[in-house]
Amino acid sequence: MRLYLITGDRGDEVETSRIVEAALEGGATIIQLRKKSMPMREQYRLALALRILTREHEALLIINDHADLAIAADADGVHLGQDDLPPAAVRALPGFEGRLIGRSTHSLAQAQLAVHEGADYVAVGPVYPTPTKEGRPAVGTALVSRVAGVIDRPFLAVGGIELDNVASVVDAGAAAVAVVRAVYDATDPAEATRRLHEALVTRLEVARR
Amino acid sequence: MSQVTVTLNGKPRTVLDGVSLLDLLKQLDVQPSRVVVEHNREIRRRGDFDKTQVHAGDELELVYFVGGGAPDDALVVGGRSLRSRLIHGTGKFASNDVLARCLTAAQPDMITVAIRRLNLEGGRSELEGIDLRRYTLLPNTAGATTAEGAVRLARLARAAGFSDFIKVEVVGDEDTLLPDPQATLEATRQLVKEGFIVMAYTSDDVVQAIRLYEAGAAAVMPGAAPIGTTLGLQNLLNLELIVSKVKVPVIVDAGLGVPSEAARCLEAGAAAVLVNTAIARAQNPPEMARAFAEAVVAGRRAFRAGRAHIGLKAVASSPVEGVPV
Repeated sequence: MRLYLITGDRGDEVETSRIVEAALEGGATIIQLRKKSMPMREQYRLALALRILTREHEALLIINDHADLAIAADADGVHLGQDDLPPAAVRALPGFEGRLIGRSTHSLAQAQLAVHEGADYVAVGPVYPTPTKEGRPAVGTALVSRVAGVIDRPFLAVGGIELDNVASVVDAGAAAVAVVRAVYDATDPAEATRRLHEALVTRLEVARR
Repeated sequence: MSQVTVTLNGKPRTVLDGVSLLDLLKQLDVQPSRVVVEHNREIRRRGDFDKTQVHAGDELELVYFVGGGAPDDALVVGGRSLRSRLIHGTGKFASNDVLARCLTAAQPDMITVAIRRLNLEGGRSELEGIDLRRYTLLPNTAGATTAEGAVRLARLARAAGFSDFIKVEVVGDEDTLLPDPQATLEATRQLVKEGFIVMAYTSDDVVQAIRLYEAGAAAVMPGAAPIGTTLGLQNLLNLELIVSKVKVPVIVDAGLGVPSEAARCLEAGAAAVLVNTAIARAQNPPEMARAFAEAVVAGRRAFRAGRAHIGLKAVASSPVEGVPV
């Protein structure tokens, strides 16, 4: 399963856990906890709940921005933006050893730099305009193609990806995608996950022929 | 169509009269890209395979590219069939161009990629200009020092769209880079449970190899010598014991220096070898890549042929009967 779910900002601990559990049942294999406005104390409780759910489903739990929370909740790793700490500094934190580091990138140079800096995976985007990253210009599928041709490391396409455009993202060279709205805001997140993944895999099969 | 007899690589074979070269290769399970076809003493172009018909009495000679080996002797790991018994590393190459030329020279089916690269100074992190889709990618968990860390990297690799193959490598000692047996076993058990095709890197310990096999590893990968040393096969006896005990492919990984050592591993029954430093750091890497590819073919052929018995008494090779005194 090549589907990475990033939590949306809306929803409390209970609501968020419910959506994440549904996505896991639909087959999502990586969950990123991203709550820009939730107090850390609540985020900690939520992270512990998601840790239990992701363990049950043998999925990875990644925490957005906060390496301390990743360590405290025994998450699998942290996802860093361009303005966050450099990967090497996070890697050296006591208690962080063995965990994963992901990096958001918006250009080929940033993706290459992230890899050189020791990120375990890079997210490339936003491929399409997205309200999650308001004001950030979309990089389009062209950047996905450029990164796919160069980076032999796990990478994900992210930003505005949904059922209608996932095929174009796969055609550009992505083998895995990250989504927020397409699953988090769906009326049936489990079904949305399944359908999105099916579309992704079907297109990959076509691309391989 | 009637059945007729042709000569295929010097032996009679029955085929359908008028069958195309392309269909014949399919029946023989030979990839057209892997073979040069001589038809009645003339080399046929690949593009003409479908138009060229085979008739009674025709002579066909199939010449396999180096690395191809015998067509009926593919290495099968986790259900994937690999024609070349040389698994090619992608680290430590001076440039992408050098790596690309090595891959062209060696024609491997499987290449390794690190999910997390250890040496950021010396290694490239990009495979620009190399068509990765041509190869079965074997991601490895190098950089993990715990079972948990290895499982994380494996899950990440799969979630990011690499295949289900994973080379489990959990370093137990930073100086020798030898694997941690307990953590390797734990990670192998967990990843097998999750449906990964686990190829487990281990030292040359025989019992550990057996345990990994029992844990469900699709291949066991004992090191010849510590990674990157190019010291060559240090314990032939243990390799032979591992081969005799483990019922999945045994792939010698790490520490080989020259092609004769790779051939020796194959002669002893190893299914394949994984080579990186010995090629990347050779004076002429593409030539060395090709030499390794040739060595594994020779070694495998020798293994299948079966070695002569060792005798302690000299026996003349030339006949003495009838020779004037």
